Amino acid sequence: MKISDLDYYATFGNTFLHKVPAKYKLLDAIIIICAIFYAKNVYSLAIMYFLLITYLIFSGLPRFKFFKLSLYPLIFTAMFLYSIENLTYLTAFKLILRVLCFSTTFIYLIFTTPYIQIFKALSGFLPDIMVNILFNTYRSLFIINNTLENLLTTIRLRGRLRLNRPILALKTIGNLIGFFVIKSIETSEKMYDGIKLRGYSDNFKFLKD
Amino acid sequence: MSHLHIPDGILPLWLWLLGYILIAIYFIFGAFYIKKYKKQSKFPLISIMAALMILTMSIPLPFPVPYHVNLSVLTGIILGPVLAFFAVFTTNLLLAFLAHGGITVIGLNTVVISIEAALGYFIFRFLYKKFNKIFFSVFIATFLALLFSTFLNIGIVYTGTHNLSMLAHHHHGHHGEFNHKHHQNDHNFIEHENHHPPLMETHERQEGFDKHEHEENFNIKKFLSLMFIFGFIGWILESSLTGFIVSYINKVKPDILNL
Repeated sequence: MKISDLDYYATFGNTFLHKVPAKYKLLDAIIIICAIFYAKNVYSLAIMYFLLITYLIFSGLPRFKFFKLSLYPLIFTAMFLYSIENLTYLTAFKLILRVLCFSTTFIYLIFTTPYIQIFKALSGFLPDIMVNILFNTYRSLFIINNTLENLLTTIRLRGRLRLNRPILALKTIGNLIGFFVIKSIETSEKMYDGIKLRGYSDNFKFLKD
Repeated sequence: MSHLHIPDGILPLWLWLLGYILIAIYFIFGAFYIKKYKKQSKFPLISIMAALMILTMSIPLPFPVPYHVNLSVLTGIILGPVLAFFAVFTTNLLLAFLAHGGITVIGLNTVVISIEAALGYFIFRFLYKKFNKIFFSVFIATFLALLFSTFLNIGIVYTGTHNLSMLAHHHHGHHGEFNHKHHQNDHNFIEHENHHPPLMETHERQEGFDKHEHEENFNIKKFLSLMFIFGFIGWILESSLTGFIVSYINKVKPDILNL
């Protein structure tokens, strides 16, 4: 799922969770993390996951996209479980539920809170350098995303990439990304000049709520 | 493609806290470096590289296995080993909120990928100086960096999970109890060797042995083979792609590479 789509849901969504301030949602996520770590049996984890999913059903959030995204960590978990000898159902369920509880919690956070609000809440803990880079990255993501979309359209218009000529396909993608890197770096230089002209002094300031 | 995105809930607390401590130390060093060499003007470049790492993941690769490009070695080559860390951390933080990797393991994932970027940078510089062949140098540098980071990742997973009872029972209770009983049996066996019928002892020891045999164990060989089967295709893809990307940049705008 694209970050721009997520940002759209987080910014323009209108559920109960969207109205809760980011710092309380972060605090809530920390409480859930602690609860997951201290959950001693599979039943408490199952109840936790059941509650999280039940809320999803009635929350008004895009259920399918949300659910699909929350299942991503299961790829690694499946590989990990495959490597366990004498694996019992209990351990497998416990591990899967733990992973799903974690991922669902954070997807709630990101589906209902714009990245900017999260960075703002994190700025109290993170060093200034990191806050600077995070805000710049967020800005850059949307600026260069258009360039990438145009490049991908160009590739599609020229007849897509073919499996029967893998080296050529790789070279085409390599050239595409190479061009994208050059374009993006040029954009970053212009962006830096632009923000410098507008008074940027290697430090981001934002309005308090 | 290269690295595993270790999710939350698999590694123990002490290990992921160690990851955070390591990146905190690196932050101090990085901040000192940025201030000393006045690298503040590089912030937009770091941000762009982080954004590139995130966005290029969405570029579809024409292969049946769902791999995605990582670009950590390219980030290392363009930004250098110190600044690449900041781009890697930013990428991991943003991706963690998408359940691509975990929030608790951001520290460890950052350590692994930063090492990958730094190693790629040094190997590339060394090979390029020696052979003066751009594609070859980038390909080998990326391949070796990915190989090393995969070993590092497997090592981290093994360190955190080889004692699976911690994960399975969450507390030492059952496993500890069993071990205690087991040791006590051994102790009793030595101490009261002549007071118990030998058949009974053999039976008890056999029971302990069976329990031990049926205990859940993390099989690193199985995990390694799985990682190598999937990883190998990924390393070849990423190494070739990075090679083509750097060759293109070298042809069109070589000053980006500072060679």
